[in-house]
Amino acid sequence: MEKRQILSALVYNRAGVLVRIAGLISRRGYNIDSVTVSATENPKFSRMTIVVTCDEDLTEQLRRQLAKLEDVKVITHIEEENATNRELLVIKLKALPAERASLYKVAESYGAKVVDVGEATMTLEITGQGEEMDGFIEHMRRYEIMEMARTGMTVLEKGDRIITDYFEEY
Amino acid sequence: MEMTGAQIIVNCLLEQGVDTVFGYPGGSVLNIYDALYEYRGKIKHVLTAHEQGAAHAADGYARSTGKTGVCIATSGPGATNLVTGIATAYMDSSPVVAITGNVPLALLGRDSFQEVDITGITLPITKHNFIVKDIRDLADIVREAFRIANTGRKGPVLIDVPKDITAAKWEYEFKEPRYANVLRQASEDSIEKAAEMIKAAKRPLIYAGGGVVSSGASEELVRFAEAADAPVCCSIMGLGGFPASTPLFLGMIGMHASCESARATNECDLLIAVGARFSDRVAVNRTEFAKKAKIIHIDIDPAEIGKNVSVDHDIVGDLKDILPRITAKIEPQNHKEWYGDIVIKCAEERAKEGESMADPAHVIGTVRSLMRDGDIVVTDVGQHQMWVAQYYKFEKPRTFISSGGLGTMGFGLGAAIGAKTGNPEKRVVLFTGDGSFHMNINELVTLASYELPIVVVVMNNTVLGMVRQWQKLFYGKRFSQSAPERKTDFVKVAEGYGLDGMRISCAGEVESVLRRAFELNRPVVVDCRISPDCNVLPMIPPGGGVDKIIVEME
Repeated sequence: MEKRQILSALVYNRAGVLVRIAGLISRRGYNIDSVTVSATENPKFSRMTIVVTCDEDLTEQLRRQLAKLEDVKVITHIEEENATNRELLVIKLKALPAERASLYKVAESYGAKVVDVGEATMTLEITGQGEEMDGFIEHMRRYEIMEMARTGMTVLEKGDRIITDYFEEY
Repeated sequence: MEMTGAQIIVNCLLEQGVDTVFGYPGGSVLNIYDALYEYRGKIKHVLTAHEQGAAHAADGYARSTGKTGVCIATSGPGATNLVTGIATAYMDSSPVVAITGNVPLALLGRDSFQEVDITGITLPITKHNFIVKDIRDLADIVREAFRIANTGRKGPVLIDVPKDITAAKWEYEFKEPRYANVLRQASEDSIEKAAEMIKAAKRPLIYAGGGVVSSGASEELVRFAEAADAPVCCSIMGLGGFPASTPLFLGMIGMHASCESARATNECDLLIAVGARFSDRVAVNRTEFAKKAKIIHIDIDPAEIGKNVSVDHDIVGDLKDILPRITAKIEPQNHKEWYGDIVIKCAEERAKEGESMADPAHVIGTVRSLMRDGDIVVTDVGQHQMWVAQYYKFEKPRTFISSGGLGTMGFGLGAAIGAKTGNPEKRVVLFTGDGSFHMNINELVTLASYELPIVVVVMNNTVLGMVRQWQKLFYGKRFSQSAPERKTDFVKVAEGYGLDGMRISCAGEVESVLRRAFELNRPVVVDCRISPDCNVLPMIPPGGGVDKIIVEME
């Protein structure tokens, strides 16, 4: 069954890594929903969260292909129910002074923060999981959305296991 | 010891035991060529006519010797000319290290003269590639490139070196090459399970691919097949990996399978794939392929498992380790009744067809009689390639050099140069077609310069035969652009390049001309005229099952 699949990888922090990974995914015929890359506690490595939509078998096939890349130290497939996933959204809304009070209230109820106030706009920030974010954006459509940016999912596995525990397994 | 980058590169090649490289000089690699001049007593450089020829030569050298092939080209067009050769090596998992020059660091990214982003271009066709941006990393990158090319599933690696890196100086220290074995051993349970499946099977069949050759597991395969009493069919890359003279050998599998292989694939209840990847030229129809069989897939590359077909059991690891372990767990089986019956039925079918030995088969058979088992056959791509795969009885691994995965027309001459350079004591024959030969005919200059006694047999049917065959079958005989009406006289071409040329105009001349060609012990081109309507049969049409097999056509 096709669904959102999360691959989490520890990759060497070298030039061109993102191109190699994204290139492999696209030439094997997968569509990337999102990719996040960031530094880690160890400057040698970066952490990547790759989200694709496909079935389990194809995800495992993709994981194995990616695992072959020299730049990939370890890569694992995290089931969504096993994932602590978060993403960040920054959204700029049209907000004339008269509308601001209600917007503050809505923001508060969603746990969003106001990060900037312009002459005719307000910019909010919220972190959460995919569906929550979608709900929040839906709500914000009552106002005029000027622009927005979201980071895509970034994920760690729930519980005590860490990604290097998988190094031996594969 | 302080050295220039170019000297470091050459010393790192020597570390790895490289004594032969193929290439073509140019602006960005002048420093490297200066170092090659300095070390000319230790490393032989073969200059080709074109960088593509150098890449195929490095590949042919690697396939025929089992060592790493090395090619060198300058930046820009030199580098892009390697691309087809690198892709060819990639598709057939051949260990090649390609070294390209590039413009100096400060000119990178400015669209400088002869600048090209060759690491970007070769990203999808290399196991890995590097651009060296710091002289301090150079030696370890070269070592790393050889390690990557040679470990696990082998393949090409490219190193792009800006010109100023080859001039810069840094400390060099000799290091013994060592490849840590990163492969995990297959578990005892998985070996046991395979043995149980084999013991339970009534009609087991082994499908052997190029992995048997690259892991050097031919003898292990023979012993395994004998113990399991399972007949063996080979993919094109597997040919030579199992001796054709063994009664268990059923021939090639796939689109141009032998009758025996096609029937066996259809009837088997257990298919054991060893070092093979179920490509679309083998599993022509993925869902129909061996559909009565359970499948065991043994391969070094975990990403091959389940890629093209889903399997019942898989073992990831080195065949050289796995096959003997399974063999030890199965007491000798007996399935002669099953495959004996297949062999008899196919023989009957052939008798019905009257077994009209086609000209190409006769030519190939005659060449076979002039070659020893260890001698090397190289092919180009097209009908002649399939005929050689079908009719030449290969006995030993690394004796059949052919572009199986990418299907590169123009591969043959370069690859033959590499094979002969790496195996001067062996006879090397190149079978090519007039179409393929025209693609890189320029490499005849290399045969002449280095006096490489290669026998080039051009199966000259004056048309692009495989294209024509498909046009006959699937395009209502509309021969679009497959009859080029070329006027090339291959005998004169050979003579023009400073080689010998001979011609076979009729069946009666086959033996005498080929005998003379081999006796010359010089580079020679034999223009062998065959009918434009010789076809490659049998043939399973693309997407079809074994039941759709075509056994005769005009």
